[in-house]
Amino acid sequence: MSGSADASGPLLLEARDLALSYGPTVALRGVSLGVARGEIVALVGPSGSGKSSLLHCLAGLVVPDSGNVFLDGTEVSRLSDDDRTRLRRDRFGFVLQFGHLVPDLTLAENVSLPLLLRGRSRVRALREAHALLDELGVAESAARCPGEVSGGQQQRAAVARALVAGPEVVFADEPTGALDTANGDVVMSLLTERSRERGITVVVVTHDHSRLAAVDRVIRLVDGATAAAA
Amino acid sequence: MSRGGRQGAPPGLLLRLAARGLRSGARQFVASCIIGGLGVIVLLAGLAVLPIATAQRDTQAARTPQPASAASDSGLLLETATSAYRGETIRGREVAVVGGSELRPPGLSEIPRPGQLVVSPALRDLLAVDPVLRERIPGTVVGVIARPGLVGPRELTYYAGVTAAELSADGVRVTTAFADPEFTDLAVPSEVRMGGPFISITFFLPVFSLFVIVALAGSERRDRRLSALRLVGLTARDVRLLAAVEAALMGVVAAALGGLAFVTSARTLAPHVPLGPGVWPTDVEIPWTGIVGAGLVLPFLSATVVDRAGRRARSMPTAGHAPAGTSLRAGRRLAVLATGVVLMVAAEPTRLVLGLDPAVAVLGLGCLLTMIGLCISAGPLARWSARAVNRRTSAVPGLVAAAQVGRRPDQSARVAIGMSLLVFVSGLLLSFFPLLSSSDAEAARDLAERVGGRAIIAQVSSASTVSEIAADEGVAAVIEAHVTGEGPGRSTMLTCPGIEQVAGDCTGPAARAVVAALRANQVVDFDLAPELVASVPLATWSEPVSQHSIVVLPRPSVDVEAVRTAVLRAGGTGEVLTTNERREVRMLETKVFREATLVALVLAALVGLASLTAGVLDSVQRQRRSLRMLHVMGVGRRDLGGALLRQCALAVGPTLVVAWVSGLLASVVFLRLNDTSTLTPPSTSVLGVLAAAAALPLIATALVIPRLNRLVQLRSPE
Ligand SMILES: Nc1ncnc2c1ncn2[C@@H]1O[C@H](COP(=O)(O)OP(=O)(O)OP(=O)(O)O)[C@@H](O)[C@H]1O
Ligand SMILES: [Mg+2]
Repeated sequence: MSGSADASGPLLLEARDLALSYGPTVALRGVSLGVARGEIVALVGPSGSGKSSLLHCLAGLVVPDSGNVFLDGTEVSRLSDDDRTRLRRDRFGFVLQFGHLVPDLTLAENVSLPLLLRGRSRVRALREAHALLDELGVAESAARCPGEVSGGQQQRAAVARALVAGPEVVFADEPTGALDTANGDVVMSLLTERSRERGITVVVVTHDHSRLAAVDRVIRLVDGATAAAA
Repeated sequence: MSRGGRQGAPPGLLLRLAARGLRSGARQFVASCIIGGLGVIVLLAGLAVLPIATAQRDTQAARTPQPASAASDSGLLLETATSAYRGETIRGREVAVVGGSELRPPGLSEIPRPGQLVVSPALRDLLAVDPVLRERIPGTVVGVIARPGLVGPRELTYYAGVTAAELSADGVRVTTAFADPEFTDLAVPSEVRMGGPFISITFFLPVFSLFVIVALAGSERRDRRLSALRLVGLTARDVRLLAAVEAALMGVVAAALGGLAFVTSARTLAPHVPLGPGVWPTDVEIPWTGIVGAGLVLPFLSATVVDRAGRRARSMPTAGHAPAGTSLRAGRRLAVLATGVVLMVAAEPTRLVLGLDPAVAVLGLGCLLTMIGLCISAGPLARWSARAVNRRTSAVPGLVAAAQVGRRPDQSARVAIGMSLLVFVSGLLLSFFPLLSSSDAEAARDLAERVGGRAIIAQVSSASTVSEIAADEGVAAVIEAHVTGEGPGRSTMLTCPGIEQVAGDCTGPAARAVVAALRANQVVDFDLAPELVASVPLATWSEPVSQHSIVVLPRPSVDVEAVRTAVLRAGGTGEVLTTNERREVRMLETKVFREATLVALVLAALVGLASLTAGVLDSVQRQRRSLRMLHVMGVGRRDLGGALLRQCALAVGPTLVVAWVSGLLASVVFLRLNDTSTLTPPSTSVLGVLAAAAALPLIATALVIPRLNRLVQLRSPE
């Protein structure tokens, strides 16, 4: 586990000198970092230090005020909104703090969404979703809606949704933030293990230092800039 | 429980919390109050219509001359000369005093002497600026007709003084009194009376459904706040009370706003009402009972609606998602709809067995049940359509939409209710049109089609008048016919001198045919059914027939107004109108009703759009998390918009179609009960309404797109 902002291997994802502010609030002030293919990187730092903002810039959700984000040499921050949307659909997966599953769809249907978005047929998508939910231990809840299952089960479904279509990068923003320790451990290890098996690159924001054991590298943000890792 | 076992929270605290709640949802509160207020205004306006119509009819009755039954040597001689000018009807009366009578028509203090005019204020203003009209209505204006003689402030009417000899020559009878106790002419037709309630419904129901939607909008936030209060320790009853108090307050303010607006502005705006001759401010009765009623009913209704809608969420301290997919009792709901439809169908057999009145009652009950059925069946219908789509689609927008509608059918279908009632009622409303345009107006149209819309019809009482008219350079031909106004028959056209010269100028196949036939036979059988009847051979023209109708064909290049002026100056009386105008005058009784109906439909459509937009907006607000997540996952904004549109269409579509079909059914049954089975139901117009209603979801979604875009923007705070 290294603390540098640069990966050792060839870079899949690279940020150069990112700056972002929300009106008067400066969220990022010149952040640079690189993530190698297959690497699992944690972003840590105090609340308000800009972790989510950085993640959003890397994932093409937010265009930085200045600086560039490259994915495989393509400049993500230059792409149009539509192109970034397509990029997220085809190459990224997401896990957010509260899962944000669609409340009216069953867990299986939620998990099948990324596959449907990539043109898979309904039947095949559902079959694959079921298989993955089974693997993550929530097969019995697959036919229920998010409102009818526990937070841990929701979050596991969210992990399944992020992984199911085989993305190149998974972005996770405090995926265990709303869970108790035991559930948090399960979700975090599922995320890191399954990603590692599949060779998926992971950028995960976390508060909890006990979860850092499973990651390859920790990048620490303080006040909108990278700092030496703890 | 420090308060001696008392369960509820202290009322003071509840009030404070209610006030705080209203403040946090201020925008929504204000919107609900304004919309509720609009609904109240519409309702009050609807309640004011019948008194206004009655007052106008009374004015008309009061100025209707009553010819003496026996010969009388003292009174007034009156002869009508209605004409039209630039689309406005001008109602004129030639008047002469007989035997020094003191009788005065309402609104007149002095009878004009020959060559003098007493005119309405609106006509006075028009005469002052219009030389053409001054030539048409010659004379010196010596007075203005006062309020009692005028139906509305913009009415165009005049009394022109003539000599008694002139009118006696026309065979006019002496009038000894005004006021017709059995005034039926121009009275509110019975169909209009029946249509009145429907118009009010058309107005009111969509406004009310909009009020409900807006009152329920933001219910998610309210429920979250209320369940947070439950966590703090308020009882279920407290929270229910709190919600009800908030909603009732909304109703009170809405009723007060609407009432206040109506009371302060109705009379000021009345003269400017763009229907007919306008409305006298004094004819507007303030419907106080309506205001008080709205003040009582609206708070109660909004409290009930909000209470019912939020019951489940509030019963649990942790709001989360209300368990969806519970039974809708679809069977029972659809049974109401089905009963309504069956009753409508049963109306006709009922008439055969029991007579017309029970049949109308059955139809009315059927309509009422159908409307209730439409309201409560919107949910099940939406769920079915959602399930059907859900089984087929593998496109994410469709899937998301079907899931939302399928899991929350009632909530989703709420937006459809106002519009489906509108479509249903429009079927009935629009079927009044063919009904009203039957009879008289139909005959007038027939005439217009036969001799052309520019031909002027007038009454004459002597051959010299005809010659004078025919001599006018603008006149191509004068055709004479005896109008009795009864049944179909034959009429004979008499020609004027100089037919040979004008024949070449006549245009229009009908006119040419008449002229050609006249040249050959001098007598033409020309059935202008059903008005122009009886045969008047050429030879009889020399005999004094008291009143003849003539049809004057203007030359193509000549202005109709010039010809009309010539006809009037030569002594033409009665309705000196072109056939087109005549047709319009025939439809005048129904014109105001038509206009009101169209205004009602347009307004209701706007309200429908507003309620739909409010509904879509609310649903976007409710689903903002998942919509945003879908965008994060790579669903483009266009697809998110597509999902919204599909949701809207799924929720609204099936109910709209059912409403359209049942509305047409109601209209067919209604027309049959009125013995007008020859008339086709207004399927195309209603189809137009349906198409417009179907376009509304598109527009509503388009209106909501900017909000959607803002919501999925990641830079904006959650
Ligand atoms: N939408 C927004 N509007 C305004 N300011 C924002 C917005 N989002 C974030 N900020 C501000 O930007 C700064 C960085 O926020 P960010 O969410 O990236 O921090 P974070 O490290 O993720 O914090 P936490 O650990 O609490 O999630 C903070 O000061 C925050 O207040
Ligand atoms: Mg954060």
